[in-house]
Amino acid sequence: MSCVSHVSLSLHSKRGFDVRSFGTGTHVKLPGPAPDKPNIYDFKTTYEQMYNDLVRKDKELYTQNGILHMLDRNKRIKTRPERFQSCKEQFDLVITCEERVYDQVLEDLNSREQESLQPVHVINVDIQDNHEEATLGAFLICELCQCIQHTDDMENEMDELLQEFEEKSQRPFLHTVCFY
Amino acid sequence: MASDVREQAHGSVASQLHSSEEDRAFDMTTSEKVVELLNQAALISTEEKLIVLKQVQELIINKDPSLLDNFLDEIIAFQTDKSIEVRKFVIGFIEEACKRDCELLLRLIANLNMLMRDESVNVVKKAILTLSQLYKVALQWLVRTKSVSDMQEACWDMVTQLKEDVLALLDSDNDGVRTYAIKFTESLIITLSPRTPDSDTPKKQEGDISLDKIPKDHTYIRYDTLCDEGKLALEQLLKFMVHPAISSINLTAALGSLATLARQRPMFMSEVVQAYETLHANLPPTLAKSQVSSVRKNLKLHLVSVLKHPSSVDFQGQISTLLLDLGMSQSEISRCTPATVQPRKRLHHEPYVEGKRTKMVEDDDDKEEPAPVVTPKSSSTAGTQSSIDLTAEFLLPLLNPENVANLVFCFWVLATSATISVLLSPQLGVLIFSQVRVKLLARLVTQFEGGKKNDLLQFILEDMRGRSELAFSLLFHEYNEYLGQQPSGSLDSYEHCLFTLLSGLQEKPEQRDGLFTKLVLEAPVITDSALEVIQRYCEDESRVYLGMSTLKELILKRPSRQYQYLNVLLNLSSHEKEKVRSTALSFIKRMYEKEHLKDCIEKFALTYMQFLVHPNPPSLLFGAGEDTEVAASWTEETVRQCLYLYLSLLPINHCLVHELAAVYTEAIADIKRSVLRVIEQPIRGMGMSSPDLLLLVEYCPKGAETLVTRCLHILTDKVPPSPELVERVRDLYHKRVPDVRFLIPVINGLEKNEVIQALPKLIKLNPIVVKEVFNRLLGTQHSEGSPSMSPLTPGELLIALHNIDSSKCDMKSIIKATNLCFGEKNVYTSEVLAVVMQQLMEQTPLPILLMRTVIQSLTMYPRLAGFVMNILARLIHKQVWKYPKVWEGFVKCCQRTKPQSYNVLLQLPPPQLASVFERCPEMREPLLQHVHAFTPHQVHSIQAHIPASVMAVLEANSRKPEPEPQPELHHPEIIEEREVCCDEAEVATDLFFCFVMYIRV
Repeated sequence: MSCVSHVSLSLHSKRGFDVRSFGTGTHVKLPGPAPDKPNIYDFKTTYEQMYNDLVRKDKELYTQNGILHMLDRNKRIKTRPERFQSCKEQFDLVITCEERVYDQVLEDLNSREQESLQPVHVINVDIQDNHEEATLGAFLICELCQCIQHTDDMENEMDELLQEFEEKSQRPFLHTVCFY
Repeated sequence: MASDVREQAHGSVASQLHSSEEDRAFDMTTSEKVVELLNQAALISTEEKLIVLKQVQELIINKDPSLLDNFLDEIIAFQTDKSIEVRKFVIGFIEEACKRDCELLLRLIANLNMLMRDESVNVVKKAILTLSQLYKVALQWLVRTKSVSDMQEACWDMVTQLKEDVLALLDSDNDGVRTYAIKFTESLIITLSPRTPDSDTPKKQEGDISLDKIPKDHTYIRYDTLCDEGKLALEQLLKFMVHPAISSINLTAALGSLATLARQRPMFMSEVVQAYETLHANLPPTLAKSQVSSVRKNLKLHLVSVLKHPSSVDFQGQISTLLLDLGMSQSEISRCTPATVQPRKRLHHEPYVEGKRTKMVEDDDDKEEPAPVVTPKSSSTAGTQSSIDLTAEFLLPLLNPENVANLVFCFWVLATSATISVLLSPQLGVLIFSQVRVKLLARLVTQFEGGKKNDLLQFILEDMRGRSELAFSLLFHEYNEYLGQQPSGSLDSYEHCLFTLLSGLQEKPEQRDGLFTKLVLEAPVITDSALEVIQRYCEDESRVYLGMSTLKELILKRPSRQYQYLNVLLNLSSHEKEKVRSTALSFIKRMYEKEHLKDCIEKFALTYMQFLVHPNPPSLLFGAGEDTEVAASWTEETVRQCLYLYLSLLPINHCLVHELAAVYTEAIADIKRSVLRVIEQPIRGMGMSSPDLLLLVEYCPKGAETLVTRCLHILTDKVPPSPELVERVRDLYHKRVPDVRFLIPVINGLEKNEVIQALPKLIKLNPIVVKEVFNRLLGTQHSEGSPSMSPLTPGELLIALHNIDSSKCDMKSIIKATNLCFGEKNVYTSEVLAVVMQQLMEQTPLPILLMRTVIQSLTMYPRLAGFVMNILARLIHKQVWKYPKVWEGFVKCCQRTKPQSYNVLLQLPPPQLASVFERCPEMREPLLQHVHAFTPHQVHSIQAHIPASVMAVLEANSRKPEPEPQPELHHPEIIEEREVCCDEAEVATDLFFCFVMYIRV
């Protein structure tokens, strides 16, 4: 399973799954001192470098909004953020948390040359990009993944499962299938 | 240093397997290494096994392909592994092996065929993916071969059959399988249509075969046939797409396939655009709202990708209109529209579309491609070998004891039949080991008489697993025989075969291989006797799950007789064996979710429940077939039998509860009692928020009062009642059925004054019920769970009991109720009782039971004596003698509390003191002595307050005769005995001495 989202969708929801986290944009954006002043890094920057950069800029602010905590955790999991479009591995399921990201994933997957015809399901769950929503969303996604993992036959039960979740969470899900 | 050593040691342990391999790799040949890995694989866990098998695959396919042949069977043997992942690996291996060496298709296609029928959908899906690849590989291989051998023909026949099988899976019940079938169809259409200059061709597929590369004069492969098959596949895909109930994911997959087709085969552009238009105008009504969004988003994405293709030029108008509808702006659309037009290319494929294929032969672009450059290594050597060598080479690796046994058996069967012995030519030896062998043998045997058939059946049953193919072939041939003899054919022989196989399997100890299920599901017809065997499986406790899951598959996959199969399962829902019954119920519950089965299941459940209105249980319940009543009477067991299914459906479909109420009102008392006993779980499962339960409470049908009460009790047993439930009960009580018992379960949800008003009625109920009421009010229920908030504090409750109007309730009941309070010593502490006494004492008029409560409190808590003296003194001020019953108690209290009470008595006015002595003459003397014993100091302070009139009363009676005996005299002992006893019955029969008068009430 894979989870594509903005980096800030922390790795909360991923215990127990074979999960990878990706960005899809051209850059990694982290909240800055104001909504219009995000911190922007390219995909070559390591979490360590981002962490140090933010500590230098305003340790207080980034401790308080949880960004440092998140970066700290992320850097223990992998060195730097990855870009989905650059990853050539095959996944069974991709979850995105923003329609724009979902569109980018679809565009990328559809632009690849089909070879094995192995399906990959892409699901979007809209989650506002703030810490609180991300935590709530993370639990929702985690629960969803758990349910999917417990299905005997993911593809056959996915439709029903998603509709159940939609109803329960009161959020519309987007769902499609692409092929490698 | 120490840590270094440890680390090294640790490291070497961790990588032992790895390093030992590497060490030995120097000395070991690849072949030896493979042998070792395969030996390991047989013994380790699935995860490790996969790793090892992948290593083997790498070694024999990529590193040293000459080994492939040697180890093929060892790897393929894992196709029956328990693990789905291992079986999937085998499929992947088959794919890689055949890509490496096409000749292997001859051997492996049968294995793929078998895996395509695997019981796990995940294996089937993997097999579909692999067939997508191998179809192309096989076609390319045959096209290259100038002279196609019989073996190759048989192989291609099977590939073609597999292709048909997968196309048929577009109708599979499984959403995922259909998705894979769609992708297979897409790939098939691409292969079976010509690549044209305007085709988009993915780089990796540039070498792939397609129709344009197939020579029209090939000795075996027919261009026209393939072309027709390709078109048929496209038709099937287009037809599939317009199915009104297509799932969202299938639709998404199909939309993508169409876009791929349009780009790679622009000749289909028109069909694709038309399909998109149709779909856009008629989105399946079964899609949920968010699914519609997902599908529209996909449609947009694919339309754009089609629009970008240069050959979309003739369809730009239609596509733009669709995109505008889907919310894309004109400028965005323009950006995606290609500028140049290539009209010649379009002309080029028109002939194909219109079916005039002959034109293509003339078209110079479409001249046959040169023969593929890659030549299989094996084919060059094959020419120099004789056919016998080839046969031997093919046979040898396949020989093992089992095969030889089969072979011998087959020969034996064949040899005993003179008419066919001619077939025993050397060539048959080859056939014996192919699929053909099995079919041939089966075909032969169906010609035989019964004895030979039984021999063969027994032979199969000896190793059902190894001989399953033979079993299936035999079965199919029997069926074919039957079909061939239509309309007068008999199914007897087929039925005998199926029945023998199924019952034979039942006698085998192990059942893990799912052969039973496979046999049932693949049998062309399930005869009555076969269904009986299935039922036997279901009734066998060790096989119940297997039996029922097979039955479930039959119900879901054989719609023509699904109700007959469902009925078998439904009948098992009241089976006497608990395991059979509960398994059946859980299967039925899952099927109950299917709309088309729901009615049938519900009807069955209700029919059974409605048996309960009959005076006797129907014979159906005792295994008899007919619905006639027998003279047995209802028992707990027969009542339950009628309710099992109903009760398991109830928590899923709450509105069924009204049917229960209807039956309940008509049923006899014994049945009512049984019903009340069995509904606990289902009612609890429904919960108190169930609208249907609330409705039942509100409209409690006449005769169902006890049922409703029971429901209320179940619902509130562990949790406090919800306001909604309280409201319904209150309505029911006030407007429809004024039975106070309804209020008990929700009593803690009522207002304080409501409870007080209901108290007189409540305490007149059966003592056990009253106890229940008090338990609820005092929070002394035994059950766990959150303590519900009582509307009355314990003190308020006891006071309320004292204030019950004696015209509304007899005193005996009130006393019993107060006794219940005193029984809860943990709740009624000395503090609580002190407050109660204080408040009661301040009331005017004084409550009748005041002094009883004072005395009882004092008995429970002797240290309250000082407080009680105060109370007594205050009562003198309230002229307690004006309340005859309280006064009587007052005197008794003084008598029990002497000598502390002397000072209180001395405060009484003389007439009342005289009255005390009339009742208790023995008190006078001690009191007089008490006064005399005052010290001079006390005389000054207290005796001064003793008026002469009082002294006169104290001294006056010393000359009086002994007083006549009073009946109350015997009671003090009874008090002692009674106060300590909390026994319900004793409390009920006992009355406090000072209220003897009330016994008459």
